[in-house]
Amino acid sequence: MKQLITATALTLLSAISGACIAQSLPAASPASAYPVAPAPGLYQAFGEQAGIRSLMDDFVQRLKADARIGQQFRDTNPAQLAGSLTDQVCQLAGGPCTYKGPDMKTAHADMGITRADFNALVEVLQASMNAKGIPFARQNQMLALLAPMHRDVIAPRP
Amino acid sequence: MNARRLCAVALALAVATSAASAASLQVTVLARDGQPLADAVVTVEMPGMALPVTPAPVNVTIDQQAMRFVPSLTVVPLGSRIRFSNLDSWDHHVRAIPPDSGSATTASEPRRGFELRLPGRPANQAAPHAEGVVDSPGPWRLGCHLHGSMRGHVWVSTTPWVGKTDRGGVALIPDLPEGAAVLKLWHPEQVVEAAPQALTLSGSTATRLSTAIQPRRR
Repeated sequence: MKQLITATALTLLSAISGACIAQSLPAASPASAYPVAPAPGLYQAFGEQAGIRSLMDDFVQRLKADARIGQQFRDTNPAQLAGSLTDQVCQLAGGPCTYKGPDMKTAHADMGITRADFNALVEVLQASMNAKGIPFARQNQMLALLAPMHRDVIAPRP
Repeated sequence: MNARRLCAVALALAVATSAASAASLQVTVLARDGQPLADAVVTVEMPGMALPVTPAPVNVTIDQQAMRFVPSLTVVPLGSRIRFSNLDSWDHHVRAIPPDSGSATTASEPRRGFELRLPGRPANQAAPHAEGVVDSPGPWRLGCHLHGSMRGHVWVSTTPWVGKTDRGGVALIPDLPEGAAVLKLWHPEQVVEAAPQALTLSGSTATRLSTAIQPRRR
């Protein structure tokens, strides 16, 4: 009898915690197949939609100028890319945006992106976040949302 | 009745006669590593023979799907109309750049080719589409201003004596005259133009073309 009660309590507990997790985690979407709940206040810390757009305009400009990976963005429309990144990052950060572009796996298929390319892009993003005066702890909270994407972005070894 | 039958016989004879003097060519194109080279354009020229009649323009469709132009290479006669169809749920753009026009265009020179904007396809609805005409011969480049990684090509031909290699590296070109011919090759990923190859066409001719072209692994 005691065992039964314990089992029931455990089931209840896991059901409740499961519900809580389901509530706090955003669903997988084209924005990210690996949803992580954004840190509270992250969207605000990035200056909401306008702040994120300004950051992404700077980021895309730096990407195009980057000696390592700039070539990959040569033919890309900067305003369009910055707009698309803004929607995506805004949504991931918990803002009221919907990213409508391709999922990360589809977007990067056939590109042969290496780990070095991915890391270079993260460094460029860090430079942009520094330039915008975003606190280091907030930068890391954002990178934690983006980091799992490496699984979809980096090409599998041939 | 008799006159009609006579006509039919004459027609059959004419077809048979022209078929007898015609050749067909099967070309197998190989990449640098010896594997079949797909998406190579093989053009046949017959020196000393009258130029063939330029084929009539056609209407073809190129899809934009999962960040690719499908097919990635299309061969059409000069003046053909191309319909671009966006099957993705997100927006695409088409930039069609004719041959011999570098990326740098001066202010005095009007921009050639055409550009199209295609909205994303809403769920369960027809794919948005737009059209353009390819009005100069040779390799046209296709790109998407929104997604720089998207690449495609349209080979615009003034001759019916042209073929595109399939996955097995094989191109079939029917209805050729017999005689001395020169094969010219073009591939989207060629670094330099391959040397033309001379051969004699007679009946069903088969040949092999080894190239220094090594396509990027897809």
